[in-house]
Amino acid sequence: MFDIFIFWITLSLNYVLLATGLTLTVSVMRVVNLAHGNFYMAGAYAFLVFSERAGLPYGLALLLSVLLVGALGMLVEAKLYRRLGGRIEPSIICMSGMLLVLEGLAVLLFGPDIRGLPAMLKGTTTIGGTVVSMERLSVAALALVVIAGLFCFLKYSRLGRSIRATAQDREAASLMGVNVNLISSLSMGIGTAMAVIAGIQITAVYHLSPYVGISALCTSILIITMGGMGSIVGAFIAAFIIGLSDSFGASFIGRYHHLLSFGTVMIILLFKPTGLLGTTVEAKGKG
Amino acid sequence: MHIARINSAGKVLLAIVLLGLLAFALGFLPNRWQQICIMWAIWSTVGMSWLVILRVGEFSVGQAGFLCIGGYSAAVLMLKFNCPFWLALIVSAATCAFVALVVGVIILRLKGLYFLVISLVFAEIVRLTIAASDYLGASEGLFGIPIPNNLWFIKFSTKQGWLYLFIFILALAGFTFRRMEKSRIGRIYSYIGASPDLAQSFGIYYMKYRVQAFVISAFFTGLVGAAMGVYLGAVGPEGYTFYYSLIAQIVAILGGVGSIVLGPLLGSALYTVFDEYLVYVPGARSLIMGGLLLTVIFFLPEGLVSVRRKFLNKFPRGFPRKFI
Amino acid sequence: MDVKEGHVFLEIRNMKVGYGAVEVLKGISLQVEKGKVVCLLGANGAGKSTALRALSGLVPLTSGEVLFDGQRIDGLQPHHIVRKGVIHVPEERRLFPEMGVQENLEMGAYLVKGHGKVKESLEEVLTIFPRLKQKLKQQAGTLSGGEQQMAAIGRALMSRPRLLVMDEPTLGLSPLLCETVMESIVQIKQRGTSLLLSEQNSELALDVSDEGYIMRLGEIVLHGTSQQLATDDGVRKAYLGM
Repeated sequence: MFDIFIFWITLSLNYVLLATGLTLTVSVMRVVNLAHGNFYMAGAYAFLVFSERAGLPYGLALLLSVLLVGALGMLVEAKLYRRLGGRIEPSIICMSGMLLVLEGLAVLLFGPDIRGLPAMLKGTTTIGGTVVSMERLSVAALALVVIAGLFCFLKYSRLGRSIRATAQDREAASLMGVNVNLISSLSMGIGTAMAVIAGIQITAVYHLSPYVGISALCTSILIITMGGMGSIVGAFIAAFIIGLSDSFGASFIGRYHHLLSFGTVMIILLFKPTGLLGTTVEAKGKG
Repeated sequence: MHIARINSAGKVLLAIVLLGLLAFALGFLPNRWQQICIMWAIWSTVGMSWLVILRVGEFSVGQAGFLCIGGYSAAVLMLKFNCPFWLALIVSAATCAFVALVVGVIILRLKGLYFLVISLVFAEIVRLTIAASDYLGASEGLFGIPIPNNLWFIKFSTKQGWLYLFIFILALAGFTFRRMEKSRIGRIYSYIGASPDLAQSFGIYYMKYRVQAFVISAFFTGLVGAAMGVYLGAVGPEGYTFYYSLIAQIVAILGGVGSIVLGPLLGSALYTVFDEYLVYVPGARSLIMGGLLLTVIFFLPEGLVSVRRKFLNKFPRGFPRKFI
Repeated sequence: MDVKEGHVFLEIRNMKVGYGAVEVLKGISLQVEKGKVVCLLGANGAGKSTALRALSGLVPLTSGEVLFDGQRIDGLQPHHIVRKGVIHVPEERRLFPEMGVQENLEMGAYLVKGHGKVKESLEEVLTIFPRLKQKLKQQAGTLSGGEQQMAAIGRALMSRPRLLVMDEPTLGLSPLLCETVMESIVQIKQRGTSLLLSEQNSELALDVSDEGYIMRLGEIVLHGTSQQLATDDGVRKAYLGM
């Protein structure tokens, strides 16, 4: 029981990372990045290359894959997405194309087989008389640090504030002297980087294959629709609810737990179509 | 043009005869090309159904869900209830329409991004739930679906018979959608697609039409999904991934979303030919399709349909455009 | 900054703007002299907003030039124009709704380097709008219309603009609040800032401005000193509806 509890916390914290990354890009770019899950997958493969093939230490490999795939995300925003002028349909198609390209590349380069990823720390420790794996603890700790870091960055730094301003009113932000195009690229980069960290952590607990991107995408979509698109606090709460279904739900009701998550989101949307803490994305985008 | 003078009933009749002849002729192609034609007909129908939802302004990424429900319904009916093939087809399509009605009433309250992402999640949940059910064969899926009995002159033991069936479904869908688009409903859809709020101010209860479009789309997707499941003889959760939803989008966009029939026909032709040669190289298919989508969206945003126009514009004025 | 009073500070030459086939501005020209308040009058839909938005780089020009302090600024991105000191208070305020008032004001000083300078600006803004003092922690989205307008003007002042562009600052405000906003314009002028404002309420605008341009259907139809425009009966009847 305590084991599942720890699993819930670990998983949910990483879901927070994954979903905050997506919600950040949604709120600034106003389009759901359908390739988000595949950036997560790409990050995990990059990590695999850095740590196993190049034999780099864990921290360095993590940092390099975050930087590499984060930069890729920025590039996609600046070179592809921006040219579409913020229209939803072409942007979605562009992101679908990106999703397929990343998936295809992963299959071509690494093959379609399932692999495991190395854990950050090995062994076990005891908390209050219960044995807990160090792997899960370290994963939870890293996620917590990154979330706290992002939160402080958005709340207190000048750049973070301009990201929030751009999300709330893009045009007004540009009238304050904010280079909104740069902010868009940056948000996409940060969002992707978050997905990469979550990807490396979560695939280490489960497994890695070129097709894990879609389920990561679905999880993050469920979370951000439940929490309200663009709301980071909403994403935080929703991540723990979806995490509940994927940990306790998976243990007690078995393989049908996906239906539980979906059902919960459906019920919430029935009563509040904008999610728990969301205002509408569309309305803010106008003007 | 003489054809223009024939009345519309005559036009339809002529089209049916021509199409029938064409389909009949296709039945004598070599096997591999018959296979390609079958896939072409399947994805054309799916692409057209996808466009119906786009007409009311929503971008669905969940068509795989209905293909999946259709395929599984047909498989269950035929395997577990010994249901005749034609009845299984109709019941499966109706099941999809019913699911679309129930789900649609909730998710069509959402618009834009919200609808888009929820449709995606819907399809994935359908797949995962089916994969969790032991009755439905869990992750193995259901296989050994019997070959249907002959229907009149159509033999389902040959590719030819299947080709005729899929062309028939395609024609049925094509004519239905074409008629819808030309009729009052088509206009209402386009109003709603342009702005639901504006449509409502004209007294159009848009929710009804949005659900209607969703249900019709699901019906045809389910029909083709059911036939496809029986044709392949097996259904499995690994088949109905997100990629299937993307194909609907790909064929419609490659062809051009402006035209509900011609666009998917063209796009699907390009897609199936590509697919036939790429399917054996793992990864290459996704890579090429992704690249193709990006190319179209940046260089040919109106799809293949617009190539004709671009080409025509190069001709001097006064060239009889109608002939091409 | 060593421009003398009376020197042409902002000059718009034959500015044309169109959305697709529709031409919204059919070539307008206007000038703002250093230290002056210039108002742009006209009915709803005359193109005032579009002119100001084009000036700030929010809408691309089809043709024409915009010169600020002798340099061309047309074709620049909005944030580059802001860097030159042209600050735009947009129509309908457009505060950042989920930020507090203080944070909104600090956002206005986005380009200002140095903590001390920002604090100084904040003090100054609060002396012009003392009412904002109690509201500093309140979320901007929950302010009343008048307070939002004060916050929006204050936010623009935070970066110490050389030219302040205001789009319909009295839109939707009660007569009393309109007066308050106009008083603040006088105060801003006294600090040496040049102003260009668009208004539908011509009586109020002509009261505080030095010069006025009257727009109709995307063109400038009249130009004169505010006194001339306000006292000419023909003008008043034909264009200003007074």
